Amino acid sequence: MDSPTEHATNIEIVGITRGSEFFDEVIGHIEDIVLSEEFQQMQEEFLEQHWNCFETGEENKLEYMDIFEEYSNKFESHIMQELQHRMDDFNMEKFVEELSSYDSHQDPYGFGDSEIFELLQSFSDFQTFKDLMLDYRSRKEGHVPNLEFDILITTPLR
Amino acid sequence: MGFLTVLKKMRQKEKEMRILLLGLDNAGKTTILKRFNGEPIDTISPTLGFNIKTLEHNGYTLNMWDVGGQKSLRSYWRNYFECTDGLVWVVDSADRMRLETCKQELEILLQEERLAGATLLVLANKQDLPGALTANEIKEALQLDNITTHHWLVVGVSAVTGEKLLNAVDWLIDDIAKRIFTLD
Repeated sequence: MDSPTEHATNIEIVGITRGSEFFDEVIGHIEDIVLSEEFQQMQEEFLEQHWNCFETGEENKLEYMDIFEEYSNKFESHIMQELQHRMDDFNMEKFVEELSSYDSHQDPYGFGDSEIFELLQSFSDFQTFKDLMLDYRSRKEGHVPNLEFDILITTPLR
Repeated sequence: MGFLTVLKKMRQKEKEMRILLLGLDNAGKTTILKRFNGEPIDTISPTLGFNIKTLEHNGYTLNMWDVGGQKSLRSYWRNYFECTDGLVWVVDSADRMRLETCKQELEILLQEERLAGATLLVLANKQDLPGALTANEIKEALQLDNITTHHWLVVGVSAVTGEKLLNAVDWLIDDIAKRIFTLD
C-alpha cells in the first residue's frame, strides 16, 4: 500500500456542501428509526386498528381526517423523540434549513424518490396517508396489487 | 417545528398551493370543484365528508379541498385550516333567506388565526338563476368592504355555465403567488 501522505497532495477540495454531513446523519437516523421493529410494529398496529374505516370512493369521510391527525401526531413525535435520543446535536431548525436549500432536481441523495421520503410525506400529506390505508385494506381483503414476482395461476383440470 | 413544516417548505418549492372551498350547504362548492376539474356535474349529491382534487393550472399545482357545508359539519371545518393559502367562499346568490347566516359564518372564518395569511375569493355563484343577487349586491350583503385583514375579491360566477370561474381562480392564484413565491 502507498503511504497516504503521497496521495493527499493530489486531492484538491474545490467546494463542499456545508453541513451536508448533518443532513446525511439525520436521514440515516430516520431510516434506522422507521426500519426498526418498534416502529414497524407501531405502524402495523395503527393500520390494523383503522383500515376498516377507509373505503375506496371519491368522497372522504370526516373521520379520515381525525385518524390522519392522530397518525401524524403519533409518528412525528415518535421520530422526533428518537432523533433527540440518538443525536446530541439534533436541531430541527437546522434540518429544515438544509432541507430548504436541498434541490430535489439534482437530488444527490436520491432522497426525493426514496421510500423514506414517501413515508415522511404520509405524515403531512393526506392523500399519501389515504393511499397507505387503502393499500393495507386491499391486502387485508386478499387483493395483492403489488406482487414482486409473477405468479402463474392455473386452474386444475377436472 | 416538525415535519409538517419541513414538508410544507419543500412543497412551496414545487409551486404547490392549498385552496380550501367553504360555504353553506347547497352553495355549489363541489360543483365548482368538478367544473374546474373538467368533470361532469350532473350527478352531484350533498357532500357529507370532503373531496380533494389536485390539478395543474398556470404552472402551479393546486390542492383543492371541498368540505361539506351542512350546519352539523361546520364545526369540522377547523380540521382543514392548516397550511391554507387561499380560501374560496362560495355563496348561493339566489338564497336570499340565508344571506345573514352566510355573512356570519364568513366572519367567524376570517377571525381564524390559521387562515390569517390566506387570500379570500368570494364566488357569488348561481348567476344563471333568475333572481340571483349580483356580485355587487353580495358584496354589500356580506359587508366585504369591512374586511381589512385579507386580500379579497368577489366575482359573480355560474358553476353550471362556467362563466367567469376561470378568471376568478386566476386572480386567486396570482395573488397567492405574489405573496408566497416572490422570496425565491
